[in-house]
Amino acid sequence: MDGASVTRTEELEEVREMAVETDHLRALELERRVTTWIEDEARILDDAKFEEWELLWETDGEYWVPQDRAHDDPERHVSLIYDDRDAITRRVDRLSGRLAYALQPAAEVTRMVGNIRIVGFVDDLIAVESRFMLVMFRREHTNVLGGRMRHHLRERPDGYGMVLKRVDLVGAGATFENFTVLF
Amino acid sequence: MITDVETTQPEIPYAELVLPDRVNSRVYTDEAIFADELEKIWHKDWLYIGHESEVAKAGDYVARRMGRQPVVLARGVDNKVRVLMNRCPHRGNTVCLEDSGNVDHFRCAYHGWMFNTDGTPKGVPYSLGYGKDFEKNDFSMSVVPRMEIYRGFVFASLSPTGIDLKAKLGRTAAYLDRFCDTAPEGEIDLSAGALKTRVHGNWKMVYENICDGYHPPFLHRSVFAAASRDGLVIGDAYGDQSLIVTRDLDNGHMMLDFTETNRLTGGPVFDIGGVVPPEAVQAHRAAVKARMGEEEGERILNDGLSNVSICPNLGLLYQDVRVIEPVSANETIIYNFPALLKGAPREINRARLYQEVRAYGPAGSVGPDDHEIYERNQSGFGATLNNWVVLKRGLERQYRDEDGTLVGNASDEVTQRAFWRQYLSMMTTAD
Repeated sequence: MDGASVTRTEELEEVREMAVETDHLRALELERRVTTWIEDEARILDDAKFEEWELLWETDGEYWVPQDRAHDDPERHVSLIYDDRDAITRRVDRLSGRLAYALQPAAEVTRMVGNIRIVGFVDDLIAVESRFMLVMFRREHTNVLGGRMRHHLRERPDGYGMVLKRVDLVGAGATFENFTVLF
Repeated sequence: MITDVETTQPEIPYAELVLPDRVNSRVYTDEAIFADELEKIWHKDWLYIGHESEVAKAGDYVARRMGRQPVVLARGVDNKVRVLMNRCPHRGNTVCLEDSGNVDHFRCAYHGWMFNTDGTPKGVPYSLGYGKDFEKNDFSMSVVPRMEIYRGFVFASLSPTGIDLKAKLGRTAAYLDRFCDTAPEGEIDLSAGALKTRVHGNWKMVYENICDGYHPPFLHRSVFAAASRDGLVIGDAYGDQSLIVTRDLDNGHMMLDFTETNRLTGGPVFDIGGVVPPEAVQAHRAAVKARMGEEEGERILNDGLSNVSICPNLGLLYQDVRVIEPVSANETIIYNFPALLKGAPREINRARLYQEVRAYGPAGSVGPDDHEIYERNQSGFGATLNNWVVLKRGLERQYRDEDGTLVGNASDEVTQRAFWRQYLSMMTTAD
């Protein structure tokens, strides 16, 4: 075909295709960055780098491990964990301070995170759902725990900050022994 | 009397195992003693079952255990609560599968027998098969022989005879009053549910710990350290100069009495439930005084909350309603319910709920260290060369208070001795 006879319609069509491909590339890039971030958070927790984990929290952060998947109000029911930002700091202090007998010896733990999906946007936040399974060992006992997570992430210059981390454990309503790992 | 173990076994020499100032740790580890305790305590004594606020509407129910016996606390259409055995009178199936719920009627899944929420029969499918003399009204879910309620706290006993609840509660009734009168409507609310933790330790260690004023600065050092960082000075709260006292409330009940300290400071020893705005605190105080009168209201608010245990399975620790369920000699389940206050400002109840959640359960900053120490203790009991658990702390300095109660220093073992005296009595009293 003679290049000089490319029509306006065909030009517009080409621009439109490039725009779709750019959006598509942007979406893929976002998904890759978010997925890597979620996996990095898991690594930090596995390595018990709690002070580093605390830096990932925004000032309006909420950390919530409900007792039931159906619970939607931390003020109406007890939760396994419900921390505002101050309580997160206290929890990190306890986890990294070596004064807590329940955490001595510390547990060994490794977790897999997967099924990571950006499910939408809540105001300026990226809503991400994922699944995890962890295996932990402490004092002759090996234990497996797992569940689903929901993160609400706020963009930062160097990555993301957590505004919400909600962890719905498998068997959240069970009678657990001490939690010696963080989810 | 319900007997679980139908074997003849040698008599257990409790009088040699439980002495006035020491206890042989065999009582914490021996499964034969645990079986004996089920018979003589858990399937006989008054036990705390649940609170009326947990079954507020007709048809509401919660499933609980009395020792090993599964029961259901349910509110009938007549608005009365009952404690029913969770067992179908036909062939023994479990009727209530869920921990809690609301139903129009109970239905056994096996053969479809139906029961009203008061346990009486509602329907039996194909009842002609039982002949024309069949009377379905003979087949109810069994109701426990005794049930009484105090300030919404439902107690029950599997024994048809014994002292009444008022006699059982004894001196703890006055504290239950203070506990409930802290609510503007005079009622607490346990509908926020409970944290549940499984611990590898004997139930009696869990009970003893409710009013142990010796361990906090040592075992709970992470909390004391955090409080210091927050600017609170609680390091000496339990020391020799403490205003907190241990109190023997008779009948095996114990108290870690914070009244004098509360009159000075007016707040909990540590505060992780979040900031309560002063307006909410004032509104709460005003509401309590509106109900109780200025003077009585002021007294209740200033005397504040303490730790009280009601033998054998209930503890009130500030806002925590703690229920103990024995599983075996070395396993126990602990339930922690936050007591919310009916009529209190939202900020007050939110703080109480979050205080509970952040302190107790498997991920709290207080409970888990206790749970860990029970497990280490149970493990230590495996060394039996010297089996004595020494409980003589404060024997030289305990004294009778004006109200007749035996009192000791915050860190003294007056409270543990109070429990063991009752335990010996319960385990050796002929029926």
